[in-house]
Amino acid sequence: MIAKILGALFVVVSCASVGFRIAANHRAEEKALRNLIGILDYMECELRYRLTPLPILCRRVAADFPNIPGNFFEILAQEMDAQLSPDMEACVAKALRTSKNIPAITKNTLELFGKTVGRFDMEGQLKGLDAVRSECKRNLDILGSNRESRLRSYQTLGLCAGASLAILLI
Amino acid sequence: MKCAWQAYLNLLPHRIRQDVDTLGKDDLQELRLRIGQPPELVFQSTYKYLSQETTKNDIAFVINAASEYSPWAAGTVGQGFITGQGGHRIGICGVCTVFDGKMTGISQPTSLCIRVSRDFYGCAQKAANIQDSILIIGPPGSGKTTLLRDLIRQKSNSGQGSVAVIDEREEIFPLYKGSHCYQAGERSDILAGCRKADGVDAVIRSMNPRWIAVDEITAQSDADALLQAGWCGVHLLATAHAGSVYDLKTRPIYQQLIRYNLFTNVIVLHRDKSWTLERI
Repeated sequence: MIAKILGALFVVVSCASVGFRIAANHRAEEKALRNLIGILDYMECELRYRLTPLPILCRRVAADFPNIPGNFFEILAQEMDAQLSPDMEACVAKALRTSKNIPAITKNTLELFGKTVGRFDMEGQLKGLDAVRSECKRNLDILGSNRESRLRSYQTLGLCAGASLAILLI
Repeated sequence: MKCAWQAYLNLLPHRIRQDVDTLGKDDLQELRLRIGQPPELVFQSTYKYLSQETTKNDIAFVINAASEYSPWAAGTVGQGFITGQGGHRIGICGVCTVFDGKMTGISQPTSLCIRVSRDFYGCAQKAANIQDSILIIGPPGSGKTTLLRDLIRQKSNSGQGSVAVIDEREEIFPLYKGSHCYQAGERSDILAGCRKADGVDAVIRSMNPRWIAVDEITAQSDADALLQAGWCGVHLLATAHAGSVYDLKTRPIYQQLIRYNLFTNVIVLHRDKSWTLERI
C-alpha cells in the first residue's frame, strides 16, 4: 500500500513539475525579452553617437547585460573576431547554435536581429534595431495577455493531470 | 617597400587567400572581385585570373572583414568605398540606396576593387627641398598617396617644421592593430577620419603647423578648405586627380587654386610611377 501511495505521489509531483516548468519558461521568456529591449536601447545609443563597431559593442553588451542566457553576445563577438562568416546573419546563426538555454521566442527574435544588423547605412541600421524592438514588444504583449490566469492554469493542469493519472494507476 | 600584407590577406575570402598570397605578395596592385566572374589580380602591366567564380558571399565577406561587420560605421560607403585595416582601400559598386537625393549606401554590392596600399620609403626625396606648397597630380592608381606619404615624411624629418596631416580616408598613415603601419616622420601630427574642411580648420587653430597635408582634393569644399589654409602662413601638400597640368587647369574645382597661386609646384605622376616637377 505504501508503495502505491509513494508511486501515486511521484506521478503527481512529476506531472505538476511539468506544469510549473512551463510557467517558469514563460517567465524566463518575458525576462529575456525585456533584457533584449534594454540591450537594443543601449546598442542604439552606441551606434548613433559613438559608431562603435559591432564586435566591441557585443562584448560590452555581454559584460553589462549578463542576463541574456547562453552567453550569446560574447559568442557572437568571438564569431565576428574569427571572421569566418560572410555576414552578420551567418554570425548570429552560428552564435545561436552554440549558445545554450535561449528561450524559443527570444531565439526567433535574435534571428531577426541577425537579419537587420550589419547594414550599410546608419539610418537603415537604426530602423533595423527598431524593428527588432517592436518584435520584442509584440511578443511581450502576447505573453502578457491573461498572464496570471494562464500561468496558474499551467500549474493547475499539471497538478490535475498528475492526480488523475495517479487515480487511474491505483 | 613596406606593406601590411597580412592585413590585406585578412580582407579576402579564405578560399582565395593562398592563391593571392602566392601570386601577388610582391607586386599586386589590386584585386577585382565581380559576382559570377573569377577574381582578377591586377599587376603593373599584366593581370591574372584565379579559377573560382566570385560569389555574393565573397563580396559580403570582404566588406564585413574590412568594416568589422559594421559598414555603416565606416561612413564612407555612401561615397563608394571603405578603407580596411592597413590602409587598403576597397571600392564598391552595386545598387545604391539614395535618401533625400543623396547616396547613403550600397544595398546590393556586385563588384569590388581591393587596392594594395604600399609604402616606398624615399620615393619623394628629390622633392623634399621645395620650400613652397606642392600639388601632386596623376591618374587613378599612379601612386599619388604613396608619394604624398613619403613627402610628408621627408619634410617632417628634414627640420622643415611640423606637418599636420588631415587623413580623411585613413589611407596616408593607416592603423593596423592600434599603431601606424607606416613611419610618419618625427614632426608629423595626424588627424584621421574627419572631413578635410573641419580638419584644416582644427589644425590651424590648435597645432601650429608649418605644413598641412591632405589627400585627394575632389570636392569644392576640399578646395575651399585649402584656399582658407593657404592664406594663413601655412604651406600645403596635396594630391588631385588630373592626368596633366592641362587637365588640372581645365577642371573647375582646381581653377580657383591655380588662379590664386596657391600651388606653383606641381608634381606630375605618370602611369609607370615616375614623376616630373612642373612649375605653373
